[in-house]
Amino acid sequence: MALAYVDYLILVIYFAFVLGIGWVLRRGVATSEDFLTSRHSVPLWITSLAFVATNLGAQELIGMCASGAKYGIMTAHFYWVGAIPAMLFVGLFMMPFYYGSRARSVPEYLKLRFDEKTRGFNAITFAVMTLFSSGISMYALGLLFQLVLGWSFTASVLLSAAIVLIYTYLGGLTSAIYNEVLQFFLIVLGFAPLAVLAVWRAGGWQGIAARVPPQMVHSWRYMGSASDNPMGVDVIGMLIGLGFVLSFGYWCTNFLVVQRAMAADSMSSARKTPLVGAFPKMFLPFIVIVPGVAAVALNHMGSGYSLPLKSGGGYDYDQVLTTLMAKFYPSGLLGFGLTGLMASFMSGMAGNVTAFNTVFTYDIYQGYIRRNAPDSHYLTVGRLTTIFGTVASIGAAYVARLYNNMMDILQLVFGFVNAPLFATFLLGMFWKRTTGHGAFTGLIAGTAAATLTHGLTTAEGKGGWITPVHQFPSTMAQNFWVATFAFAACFLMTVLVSLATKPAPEEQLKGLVYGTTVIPRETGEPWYRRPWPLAISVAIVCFGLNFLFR
Amino acid sequence: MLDLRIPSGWFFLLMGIILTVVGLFSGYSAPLTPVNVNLYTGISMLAFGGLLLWLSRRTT
Repeated sequence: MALAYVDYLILVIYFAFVLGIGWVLRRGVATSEDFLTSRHSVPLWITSLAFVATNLGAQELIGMCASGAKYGIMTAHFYWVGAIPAMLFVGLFMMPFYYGSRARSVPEYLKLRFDEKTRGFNAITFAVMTLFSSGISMYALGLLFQLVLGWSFTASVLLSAAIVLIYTYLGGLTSAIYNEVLQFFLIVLGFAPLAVLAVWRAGGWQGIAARVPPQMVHSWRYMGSASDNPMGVDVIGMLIGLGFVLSFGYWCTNFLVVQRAMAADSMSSARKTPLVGAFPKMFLPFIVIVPGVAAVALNHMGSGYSLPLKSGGGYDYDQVLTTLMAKFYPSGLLGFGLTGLMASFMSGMAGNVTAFNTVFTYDIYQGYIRRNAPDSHYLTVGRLTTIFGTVASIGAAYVARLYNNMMDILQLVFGFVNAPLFATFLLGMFWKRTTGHGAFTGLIAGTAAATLTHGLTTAEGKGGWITPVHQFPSTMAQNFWVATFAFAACFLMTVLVSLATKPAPEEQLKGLVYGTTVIPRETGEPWYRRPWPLAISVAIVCFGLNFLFR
Repeated sequence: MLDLRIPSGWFFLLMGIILTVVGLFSGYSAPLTPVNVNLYTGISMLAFGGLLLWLSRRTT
């Protein structure tokens, strides 16, 4: 793929704008909370788009298009069954506790609600995980630019990381969030033409349906049995594993996204952040997944586009997105599309860096290293952590480049740690009786159950390292069931230990648990701006999309 | 605090101008695209950038 001057010009202008936004916002940073939490000051339309954008990293963009080409429209389950219900839940039911408590981070909420050890466990695993996921996505970007444009891996990694570092260092979380919105617009405007052109060329949705296997254009029809669909999952495993445990675990407890909502300027805005964000989120599959499905049809029709091949044989799905761009975009729009890819990478990385520096500064440094320093000290620590986080991510990118297996192992470990978390939050927020000891032992039991399930089952040659007892048809099915068992174990253990230990006195739980908290009622606003009507309209549209592509 | 609609508005206005100019003068050449997609996206971005700027003026 060759770039013209105009493509570079677009990339340079984009860099200038993100840096400029950081430069202007640096004046708003006076305290550590300005820098790390935006101090409840960001308007709703910005937090809701940032909520969606921070998850829309380069890996997501490339990976969703790849899954679209591999599994078809069924990939949309990650949105229409996974993300949307979880986003509604966090907005309606959980945000009052996050925003209403005095917590500045998710681990800090765990400390207020439970105890120090539960917070420590969550803070440390989260900090390590964010650094590695930021490193892995940096690696993916560097690799892609090397393959597609022939840019040096080191140069593209360093340049993009340096820009993210500068604007987050200058303006902190506010700068990251503001830029995420610009990045969101850029991603949508940069990739929507690709979806339109690819689908049009393939003869519209009907044309695609006539050319690809029927499993690729239906998201529900082939879910009855795992052997009928390319994902190798059945409807029960998918609904519980993905629809409930994994996506609720991600959208409701991951500080990366929750932080965006907590930055909102009022309780009402915080609750509505995921609800309003759900509207654009629902339609993203048309931009990120559909081009992948269209690519398969184009490949079958001798249009001049063929799916990229791996050197060792088989299709290289990760390159579907960029090869489509090379075939459909002329110079100009090509530069804009690549800028969109760069923007998606930056929004993902800035999300990781800003979540990392907050958790490190408040939950690890202030929690365990130096407790009672003046605020200016924590501001300095926050800024230094931003630099450290960026440098460590770059290091992680190189580790991922050196050891491909290590990446698999790490992603596995993340899965084990994340899967049980939702049980802890669910019980913690809605059952007063849950105790700190219960939460902590529950988390340990959940992680152990995940490890055990993975060790006892195999799928596509993975897992089964203790002794293979059961075989899953795909690693995706295995992931869903590992998560489900982890959730169940964590839930049970938390309940049992909580019943056996002494609960915290009720006055300590004010604002933290359902039943001891006044849930705000938005009576001053017109009905269509209140959380429930918004959530119901999201649910109706989402149901319609599922029905349309059933 | 900064009104984000202003810098984003200018950004897309600028992008729109660049793509429209490229579309008008250097044409288009992508193997599978038979239409002047630079021009069309350029015009849409001009509209989007203009809309953001108009919205920011209307409220302040």
